[in-house]
Amino acid sequence: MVSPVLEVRGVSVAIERKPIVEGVSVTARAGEVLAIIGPNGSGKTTLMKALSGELEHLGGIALNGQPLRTLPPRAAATMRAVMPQASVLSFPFTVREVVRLGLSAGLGVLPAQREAVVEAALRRVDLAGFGGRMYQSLSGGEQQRVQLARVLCQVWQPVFEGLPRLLLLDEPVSSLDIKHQLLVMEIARGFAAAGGAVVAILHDLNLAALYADQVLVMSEGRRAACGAPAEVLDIALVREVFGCELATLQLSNGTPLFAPQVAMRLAAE
Amino acid sequence: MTAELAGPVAGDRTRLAQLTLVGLVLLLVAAAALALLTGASDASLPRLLSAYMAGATDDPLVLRDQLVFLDIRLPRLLLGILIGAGLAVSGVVMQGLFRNPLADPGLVGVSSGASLGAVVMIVLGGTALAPLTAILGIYNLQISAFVTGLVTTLILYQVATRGTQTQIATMLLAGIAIAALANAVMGVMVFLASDSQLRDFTFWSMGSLAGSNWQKVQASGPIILIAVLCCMLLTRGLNALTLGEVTAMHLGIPVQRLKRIAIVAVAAATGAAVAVSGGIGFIGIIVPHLLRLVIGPDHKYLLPASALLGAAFLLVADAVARTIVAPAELPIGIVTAAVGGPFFLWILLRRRELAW
Amino acid sequence: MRLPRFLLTLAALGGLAGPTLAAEITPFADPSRVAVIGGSLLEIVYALGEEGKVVARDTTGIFPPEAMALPDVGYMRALSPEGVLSVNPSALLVVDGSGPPEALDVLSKGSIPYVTVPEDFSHQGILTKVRAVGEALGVTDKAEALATTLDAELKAAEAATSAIPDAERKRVLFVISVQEGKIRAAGSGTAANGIITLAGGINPLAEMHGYQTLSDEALITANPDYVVMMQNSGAGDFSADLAANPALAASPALQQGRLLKVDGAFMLGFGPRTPKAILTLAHELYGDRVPQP
Repeated sequence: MVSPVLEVRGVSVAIERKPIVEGVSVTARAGEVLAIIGPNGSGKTTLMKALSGELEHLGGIALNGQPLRTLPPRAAATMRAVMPQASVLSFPFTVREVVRLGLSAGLGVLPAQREAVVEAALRRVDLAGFGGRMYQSLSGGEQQRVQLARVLCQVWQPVFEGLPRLLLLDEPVSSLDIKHQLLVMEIARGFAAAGGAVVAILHDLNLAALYADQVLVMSEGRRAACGAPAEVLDIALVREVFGCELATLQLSNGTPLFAPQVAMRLAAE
Repeated sequence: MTAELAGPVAGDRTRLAQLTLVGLVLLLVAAAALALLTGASDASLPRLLSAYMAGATDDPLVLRDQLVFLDIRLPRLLLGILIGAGLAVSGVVMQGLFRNPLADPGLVGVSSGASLGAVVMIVLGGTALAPLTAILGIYNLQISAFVTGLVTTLILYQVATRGTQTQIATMLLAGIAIAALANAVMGVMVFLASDSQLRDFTFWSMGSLAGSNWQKVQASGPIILIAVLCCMLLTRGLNALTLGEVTAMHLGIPVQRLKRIAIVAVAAATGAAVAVSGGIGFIGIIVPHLLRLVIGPDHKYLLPASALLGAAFLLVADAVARTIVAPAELPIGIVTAAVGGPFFLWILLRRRELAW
Repeated sequence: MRLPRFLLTLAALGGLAGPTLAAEITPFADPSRVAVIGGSLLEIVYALGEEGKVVARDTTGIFPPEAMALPDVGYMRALSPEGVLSVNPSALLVVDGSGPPEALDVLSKGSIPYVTVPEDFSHQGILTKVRAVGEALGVTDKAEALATTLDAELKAAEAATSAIPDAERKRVLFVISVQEGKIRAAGSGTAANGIITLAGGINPLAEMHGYQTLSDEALITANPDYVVMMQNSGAGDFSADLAANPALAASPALQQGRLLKVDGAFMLGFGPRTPKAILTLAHELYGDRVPQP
């Protein structure tokens, strides 16, 4: 359970010659969830774009040992699936048709199994019975879950032909209610538990603390800290990186819990 | 809406799409029969066939029937199928590429380029460009329109490509600029044109299949056919592009290659079609839109269905154009626009209701 | 413009050979069912009394009125082959400039002989057309007689107008259309220029070729005494637009309201009615100094 699925070595990304991410190194391993946290503008999404191949990068990114740059798009699509923050759909597909787009792209599946895989993915994201709805008629949160189902279809086996697969999730819970936030995090954990690897950008420190095996804290384009939540998420670092007051609790296993709202209100009074 | 989506599984329109394809094949066969059997003259296929049986092939009446079927209606039928299919499929590909149901092949500049080539040839073909006319022979207009259309598209593609990425939005804007430029040059040509040249250009821009013959089938047929077949291979890419270029890349689509193939195929198909038939509007918008309403936007079925319906639609429109004022003929562009204009308005009204 | 010799040879080979000249016209083997393309040719056929042989006309063939009963196979430059075939013609009489070339190509494949009659907007041009039509229809004697009559009539009309001294000749502007205030008028090489010259007028635009859109300065320089336009032309009645044009409003034509509306087929046809057309126009320009038509 320690083979590196995604190896990031000294990666820098510049947009219009302005450096946004500088010298970040991190490793995502099979069986683990890696959470990327950090304030707005700290380079989380830019780093994610480099990891998914959307942006050019300096340094090394390797997927299951293969340099990302040399990986043809088709092969990359079988190795990792990317869930975007938001998706617009330009033509009136049904929910089922959108989810199938994932199926036709990734690992592939026998025709006889297709509908079962699609159905399982829809059920997994709590959208059983939504297959016949038009995608555009759904709410933002529902659309986000359809995208997750599509992504789950793309790499529907967390380990395929002996190689672990990778899920890249860009703020996967941003427009979800509490129940579905937890559901999505459970799905991420389940994918890791089955032998895959997950990298997710999260804003909620508590979700990161509760669900991640490893947390990468970004600050001003650099890696501020990286490690297990209990080690990394100490109150001084978080206060420094995010620049705000926090109240903390500690669970019996050492996992920190943050109550920023409480602290802010108290400070204001 | 739910009734539309009924299938073995909710949201699965595969079966509906397959049935529609079968229906469209039958429709095309019927349209082809109509196109072959109707016309201004009273040529009769049974009479021709029985004459062949009897071996009476030198009867002048038989010779005339033979001319009508083999040299007039058959090449016209084939060109109608090719051009109708080519324009409709080009429409689907452009809409997929620009991610907009109202995009048409004109956006890659091929139409304005072809019009420019045509008008330059009509106006200057007899004077300044006479040497060129001499080399190109009686097809100087077609060749000039085709070449100018392709060259315009290539310029547009170059302008919109920075490094390795073609910016679709830049292409759209550059297309507007190039269309304006082409219009300006066309304005100069119209200014220089004689009265009969103006009439020639007007007739050309209204479109017609009246000049169909085997040479044109041989010249444009393979181009349109290959381009349409290339477009059929873009199914997966165009489907993925529905979610945006980035997601398409995540889904394993070589997006830049997809854009290049799509643009070249559309320019070739549209250029060849426009060169042979002049301006025939609306097929590239009406046909895909209508089919999306019925079978959904899955390109696996939308592309072949559009080819079939586009071909059938053009054959029927041409049959109307040929017979409604017989023995004279209406430009086919008038017929397609007469149907397309109101339909287009209806699309716009509908879109406003659906708000997307 | 001088062209290299080999290009001229190519032009001759490339289907661009000029129209069949009158001298080369071979009579139709079967002139019993002729489709006539070109309004002036149709008038000539009627003037020859050979209308019994005509089975179809094109959109420009509108005179004499009884010809309107014939089936119309479309505009002369946009013919449809099957439309022409549908009237089952034994031969085609076609004025130069008809097309498209593909249509004529298919028809010639159908072993329907066709003769292209050259068009020239002049005295000789009319006589050439008459002789060509007569030759094609196998009525050379009748055609020669008609040509002789027309020749005499044309000479008489020309004699009447040539008596006008150069200094008193009127400047005549022929306006074909007005679009968004822009005036399009006839230069040299047009039927309008031909008839103006024959009627003893001066076309102020004779240095331009074909129909041209005019700038205001060109209009001021043209300074016409008369403006001629077609009635029932496709462009509609644009006399109000002419009056609204400041460059033209100052001309004698507009100052004195000398706007002439003429029947296009009659005035510009260059056929049997042209002698009468010359006199009609000349009478408008010069009054009784020219005999009544």
